Formats: sequence, C-alpha cells, structure tokens
Amino acid sequence: MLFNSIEFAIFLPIVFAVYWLVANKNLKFQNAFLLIASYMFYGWWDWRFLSLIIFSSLIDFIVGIKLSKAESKRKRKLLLLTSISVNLGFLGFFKYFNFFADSFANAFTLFGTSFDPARLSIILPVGISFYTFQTLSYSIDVYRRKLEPNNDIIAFFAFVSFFPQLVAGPIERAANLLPQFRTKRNFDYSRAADGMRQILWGLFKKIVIADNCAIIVDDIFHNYSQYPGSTLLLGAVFFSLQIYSDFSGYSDIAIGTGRLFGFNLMRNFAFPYFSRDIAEFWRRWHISLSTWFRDYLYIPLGGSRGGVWLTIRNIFIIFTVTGFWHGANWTFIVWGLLHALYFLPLLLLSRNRKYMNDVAEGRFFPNIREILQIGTTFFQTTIAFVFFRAETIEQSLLYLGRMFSESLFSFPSVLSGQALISLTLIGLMVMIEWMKRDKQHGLQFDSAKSSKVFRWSSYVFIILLILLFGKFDETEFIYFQF
Amino acid sequence: MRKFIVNILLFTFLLLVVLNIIATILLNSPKLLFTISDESWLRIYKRVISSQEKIKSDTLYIGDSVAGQLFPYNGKNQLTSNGAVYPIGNYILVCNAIKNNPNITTVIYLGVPRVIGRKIERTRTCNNFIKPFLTVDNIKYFDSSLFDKLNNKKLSYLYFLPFYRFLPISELDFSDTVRKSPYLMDEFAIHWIEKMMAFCESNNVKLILASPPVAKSLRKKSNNWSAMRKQIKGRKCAALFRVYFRTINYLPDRFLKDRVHWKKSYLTKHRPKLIEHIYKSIRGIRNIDREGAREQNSRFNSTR
Repeated sequence: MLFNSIEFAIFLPIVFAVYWLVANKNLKFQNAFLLIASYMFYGWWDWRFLSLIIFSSLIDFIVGIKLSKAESKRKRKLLLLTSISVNLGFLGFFKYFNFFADSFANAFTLFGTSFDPARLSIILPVGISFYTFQTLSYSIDVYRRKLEPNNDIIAFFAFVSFFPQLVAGPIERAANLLPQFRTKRNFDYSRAADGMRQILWGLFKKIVIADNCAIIVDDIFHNYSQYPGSTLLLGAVFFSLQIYSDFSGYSDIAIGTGRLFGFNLMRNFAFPYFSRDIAEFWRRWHISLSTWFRDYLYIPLGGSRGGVWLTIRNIFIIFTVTGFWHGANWTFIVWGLLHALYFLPLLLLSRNRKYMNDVAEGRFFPNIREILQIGTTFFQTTIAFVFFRAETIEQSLLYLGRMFSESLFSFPSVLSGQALISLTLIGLMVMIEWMKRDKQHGLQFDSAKSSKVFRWSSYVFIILLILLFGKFDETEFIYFQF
Repeated sequence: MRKFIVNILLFTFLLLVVLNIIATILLNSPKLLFTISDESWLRIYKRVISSQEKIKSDTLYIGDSVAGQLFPYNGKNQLTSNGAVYPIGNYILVCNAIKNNPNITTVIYLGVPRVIGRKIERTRTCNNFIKPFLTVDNIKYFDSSLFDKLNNKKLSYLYFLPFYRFLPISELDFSDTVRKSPYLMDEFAIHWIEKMMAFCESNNVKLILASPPVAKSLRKKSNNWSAMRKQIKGRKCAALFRVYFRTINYLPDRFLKDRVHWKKSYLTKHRPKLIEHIYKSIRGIRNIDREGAREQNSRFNSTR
C-alpha cells in the first residue's frame, strides 16, 4: 500500500478512527490493533513476506529476553551474533545474493576464465533494509545494556512493524520508539493537527515536485547521449531535487502519520540542501541512517579517536557501507566513496562540526558567502547523485563526461513546458522551506503567530497545487527499492 | 479528539465549497479553462459551450467522429464529437443550440450505424458523456431512463459536483459484461433519438438522420442492417431511419485507416463528393445551407 494511493487514503482514516474510538481502552488494545493494521498494510504488497518480518521480530524478541538473563560475556556475544546473523543473513540473501554472484564471476574474467554465476530470481521484500536495521538496534542496545529488554511480545512486534515507518523509515532506534509502545497513548490535538500538516507537505513534495521532476529526469537519463551538457546538468539537478522531495516527502508522511497515532518518530531530513558543507549535509540528510551507522559502526570502529589513518579508514568504511546499504550495485558504492572524499578534508582539518546551527540564523536572506557555500555543497551532492541515478558506472562516467563538455554552455534543450512548470513549483517549495528552515517541516505553523484563516488558506492552496499539478499514477517512492 | 474531528470535517466542508467555487468559475470561463487544461473531456465540453453560443447558420451538424471527418467541429454550426457522446449528449447539444438560436431550421445528425445505436455502458462514457454533460444545468434535459443508468453506477452522481470532474482520480468505468450485437440499436439510444425528434418537431426544426460513409464489408456482415431495420419498424423514429438507411454510402475497405475512420489522403480528395452524396440522399426533405457548408468544406481541406 503506497502512501500516495487511494487504498491508503481509505485505510488511514479507518485505522485512525478505530484506534482512537475503539482500541483506545487500554495499552494492549492499542498495540494489538496497531500490529494488525501494520500487518495489513505490509501484507497488501505480498502477504508471504509477512512471515519474514514475523520471524525476524521473533528472533530479536527471544534474543532480547535471553540477553537480559545471560550473564556470561560469551553467551551474550553468541546471542548478539545470532540476531546479527539472522537479520543480516536475510538482508544479504534477498538484497545482495545476485550482486555477489555476479561480482564473483566478473572477478574470474580478470584471470581469463569465465562462467555463468548461479543467479536467483529473488524478489526484494519491501522495507527489509529498514526494519532489519531497526530490530538490530534493539538487539545491540540490549546487549550494550543501554536498553531494558521488552517482555511484551505484542508491543515488540508492533514496534518492529509500525506501519508509518515500516517500508522506508525513518529507521527508528529501539531506545526512542519502543518506550512509546510501553505507555498508553492519549490523543493530543496539537500533535495530531501538526501530523496532518506534515502529511500534506509530504504529499506535496512527493506528488507535485518529485513526480514532476521524475518525468524530466527519466527522459534525460535514458537519452543522455542525445542531449547537450547543459541539459545533462539540468537533469542531474532535477534528480537531486527529485530524490530529496521523494524521500523527505515519504519521511514527512511517515512522521505525520506517526503523530496522528500519538508517536514521535525521529526526524529524517532537516532541509539538507541549505547545508554549507558536506558535513552539515550529512547531519541533515537521511539522519536516521547516518546516525545509525555512526552509533553502531563508526564509533565501535574507533571513530576519529585512533589517529589519522584509522580515521581515514573508518570514514571510507562508513561511507562505503552507506552506499552499499542503498543497493547491490557498484554505482551506490562509488556514490558513497565520493561522499567520503568530500567529507574527509573537513574531518582532517577539524572543520566537520563548523556549522551546527541553521544557515542565516536570525536573518531572512543569506549572505554571499553562505549562498556560495550552499551552491557548492549542492553541486557536490548533485555530481555524486549522477552515480546514484545511473544504472552502471560506465553510464555515470559517460554522463558526466558529456555534461562537462563544451555543450555545457549551450541552452538546455528541455527547458520548456514540463521543465518550466517543475522549476516554478520547485522555486515555491524552496522558498517555503527556506522560510521554515528553523521548523520541522514546511507547513509547521506557530499557532500563536499565524491566524487560522492564514493557516487554512495555506492548506487549501497546497491542496489546489496537488490537484492541479500532481501526478496521480501512484508511482512508488524511490527508497522502496532499498 | 472531538475538536480534531470537528475541525477536519469543517475544513473538508470549506475545502469542498472552495473547490466547487473554483470549478464553477472555471466551467463558466471557458477561455481560461481551455487555456490551463487540455484534458480530453474538455474537447467535448467545448461543444457544449459552443451549443450555448450564437450560431449564424440555419443548419446544425452533430454526430460521431466519422461525421467529424466530413463536418469537423468548427465552434459554430458543426458540433460533431464522437460516438461516446451518444444520442443523449447530442440531444443536449441540439436543445441548447435551438433554444439559443431560433434561426436554426435543420439539424443533421450524422452517425455510422454501428455507433449511433451504441449502448451507454462503455468505458469511454465517463470522459465523453458524464464529465462534460452531467451538470446541474443539464438536469432539465434528463429523464428516468438516464437516472436508471446512473443508479447502476452510483458514483456517477458525484459528477454533479462541479469540482469532481477535475479530480485526478480514475475515471468511472461504465462498461458492463452484457454483450450487444453491433447490428442492433440499444433501446436507450432509440429513446433519446426519439426525444430529439420530438424536441425538434415542437420547435419547428427539421431533424435529419444521416450516415457518413461506411465500409463495404459491413454491408454483407450486417446483412444490409436488416436486424436494425426490423427493430426500428413501427417505432416513432421509423421515418427518420428510412431516410437514414438511404444515406449510407458504402466505400471500399482499403480507404479505411482503422475499422471505422477514413484515410486522410482519401478524404482530402473525395470529401466534397462524399458530402454531396449525403445531400443528394436527403434532397427534397429540406433545402440545406449548402453554400455555407461548401465554404466550410473548402476551408477544412485547405487547413489540412
């Protein structure tokens, strides 16, 4: 069930009404109902994969209980290893089997021998990369004694499968989300109202911005050999905006939906394209994933405390793994490595924590320096996104080669009709997000400062834009494939 | 919780009001509407708007897309559309045109036999009839025969709300599984042709039913429309159809570009002859504004 589908538009109000009006009697009812609703939501794609999520939840639930009772270090390690093996085993099999088989076969061709690797026609279960990391965080935190194990199986299963963030995050930490399943949720008007606003803003970004950009991006990337460099640059810029609007739009809908049910999910995007350097970008882009890798991989590897070479190694490891997490393709690995190269100088010069505040804080307009910094960071990420979007490394290199040719200075050949509409809508989105950069999302209002008429007019305006310019062919969110 | 639900309901209500106001403004500002949107149903809605405007000619042409190959829509007296507008949509066009233009003395309704009697339960009905014609303004033209059909697809009533036709949701599928012989008229179609006839009679306007050219192979396949002829015999519209069958002009199938429409190259060359055939077949029924029609024909050929 997609967030931008009719099915979800029917599903959500029904689940919301039953949750607050019928299942609101006690905590157990609330959790049990959420669990049923989440399994229905997930099973809508393919009910067979429910068995995977149930099995994964069960293993981590048992591991958690056993960890609380086990005292010996060896036994505790063994239990953690079981959880990691099962979770990463599923992920590895479903997501990476064919990649490793092909890479293995390609490696042999270097030695002059070739063979057809055994390939499996495997369907990637939706959201496996997200819920696997979520349950792993639980096992690791319990192992580290940072979190009390959960004894309520319904609450735990509901935590793993909570439908708003099940298929594309935010990748919740057990320490943040699980306690919310242990206390009865009471309806909070302002939280629910803000949740609705965030859903609306997310829908605008997905249906209007991302899906309109997708039309241009698909055309340019499929026919890149026929377009001049200027058009290819435009295609790359449009893709940067598409992937941001698509994924942050999904996150907004997920967080907003969570708020409707009384949950506070973690923030996933904090206006990353207003970042002044790559380090700030990574504090604002896919926050739930980058902090997951920071806490469960980078810091355990020693972080930046083990000297220059160890720091360099760790940075390359974390960015390579981040790239590889996105998909079984070398393009994602190169994307990650490129970001490591961008990030490394800042870390080595100890400038990676220079910009911890919002850009142009206390001012409306940024200064020239900030504009240049934002532009440079956006350009860096855009170049890296060419690898993310292309199907092969060769295609990425050809695309970039053609982009940085003399034709870069010609007039873009697709700058008409659809592209102009998209640019206008993007301009509107950027303007709104710039004005709201100190808020959680583009439609967050300070009730005391803005009148009801203004707020409601804004919602009507956004709905009108969605109806007039939205694409309603229920295109999937990009991050569903990961 | 109560405040939240009340506010959601209130907002939804206000949103519907605003959307309906905007939709009504758009529907009543055709120039603006046709500039900002090019949805396919608007092509038919253009005919509805044209039928409400001044028509200088004394002859009105309506009909299906094959008719449109001979008398293309010109925003004036040629309001040809397509087969999914059905006799009921054409009835509304005729009513509007005659009410607003007392100078109209003849209506020529052109449709190939397999199309003119089509049943309304088809996939294209929503876009070609429901969206452009199902408005509060047009309720005065509807009768129980249409409401019986709408009752089978109750969601179609939502189209009476002006904004609903603009929503980017899937079209309502009007098709059903009941098969109808293409060589027989649907009773619903006959009913609305008879209503058109009665309306024209009461306004002293001559209604002529005619056929654009038909593929030769169909003559044999349909047994020269014997079943249709038999079906119409003794009905109020029998006289109308006697002339209709006389106007059918069979042409070799090789000139077809698909199963119904004619090749552009063929039409460019033979269009005046084909129109002349129709006029000859209906000669004596009414002197038609042939000069005006010829002038438009030559304009059509020169623009193609």
